[in-house]
Amino acid sequence: MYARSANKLFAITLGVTRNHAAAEDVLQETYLKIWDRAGGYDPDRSRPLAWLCAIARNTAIDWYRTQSRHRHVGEERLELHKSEAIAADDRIIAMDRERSALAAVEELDTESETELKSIFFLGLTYPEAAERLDLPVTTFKSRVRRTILKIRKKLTDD
Amino acid sequence: MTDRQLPDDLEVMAAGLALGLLGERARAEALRHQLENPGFAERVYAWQKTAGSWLEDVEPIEAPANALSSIEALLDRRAMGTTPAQPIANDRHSVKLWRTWAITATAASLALAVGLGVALFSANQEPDQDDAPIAELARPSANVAQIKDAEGVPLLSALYDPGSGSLSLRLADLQQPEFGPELWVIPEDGTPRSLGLIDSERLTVILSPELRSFLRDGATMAITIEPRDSAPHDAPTGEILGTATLQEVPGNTI
Repeated sequence: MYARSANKLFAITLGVTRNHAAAEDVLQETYLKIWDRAGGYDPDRSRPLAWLCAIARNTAIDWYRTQSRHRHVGEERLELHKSEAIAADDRIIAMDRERSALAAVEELDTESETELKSIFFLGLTYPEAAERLDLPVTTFKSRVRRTILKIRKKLTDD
Repeated sequence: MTDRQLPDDLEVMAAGLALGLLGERARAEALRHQLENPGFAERVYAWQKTAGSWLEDVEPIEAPANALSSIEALLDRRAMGTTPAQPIANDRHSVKLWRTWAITATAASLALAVGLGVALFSANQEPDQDDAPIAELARPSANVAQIKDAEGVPLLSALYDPGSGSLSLRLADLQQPEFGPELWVIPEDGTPRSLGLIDSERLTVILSPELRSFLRDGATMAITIEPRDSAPHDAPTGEILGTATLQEVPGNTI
């Protein structure tokens, strides 16, 4: 199971964390969760690889959010003079993560689908994604709406 | 995906819920639809499967060579009891630990994606209706919560109507012959109160006034697997499958 899934899961953890060491840590944590929860896997609800990938994604997203919280809460008081630099770093990290996600998802039919897949990949909500894309939330939601309906039509046609 | 068609707005909402796009209030509304509308729930599931296929399509990157040995070493250490990842045992000490764990748990830190919602008004309180538009007053308030496991799979969705005191539940297949899922609420005093063993995939129960009083903002809801004998139990003994913290959302969003 490890041999057949590790590279896929590592791509996911690296894509979200953008940090090789962190991705490896998250990969380890992912397999511990898989070990613990294997008995609860339901083949009627998801394919095996999809189940493993979901655990990897969620674990990586949790790692990223925890890091973000620590950065904002822990350093804010001690390093006020660096606040602007931290904000800039955050933006750069966010942009880097966007690009990574864009590169990681295969078989992308259109730019809008790519965008939606990337947002899901990174675990972003509408407001979070709109902020990272520097778009008004309403504009972004309208765009996503069109994409969702387009995907539904395509899958229904298939 | 299935052929069942929803109106576009509901389709977008179903996708938003499945893909994690929704903010707290919108998610509460989507969870209510998921509980009340089987067609909507079906579309959420279809989008979850679609999202799963997206993840499967990610281009592999070679994992570090030592990753497997590191994982095996971690598992060995756990097996030797050097890391605290043991299931909760059936004793009072473990119950105390469980309480502490449950009370301090947060959805994010425990990898439990949670959709949240609880009434602005308890069963014993009347809402201040002076400022509320008539259309909103006509809409009954409701409360939704969803407990998911670490993989993001919903374990339980709950719709609580504080007016009637009814709690409608739908849960994943957690049934076993001698054991079943038991739902708990842990209010601010930290003492878990059983809401009962759940015997079917979907049911509605009418809560006692005492239990209603515990379903307030800040209370933790949790699921454990417990023996069917002598349920409901005084305290949880089984492994915690998931928790959710109830939070207030404005009544006009649900």
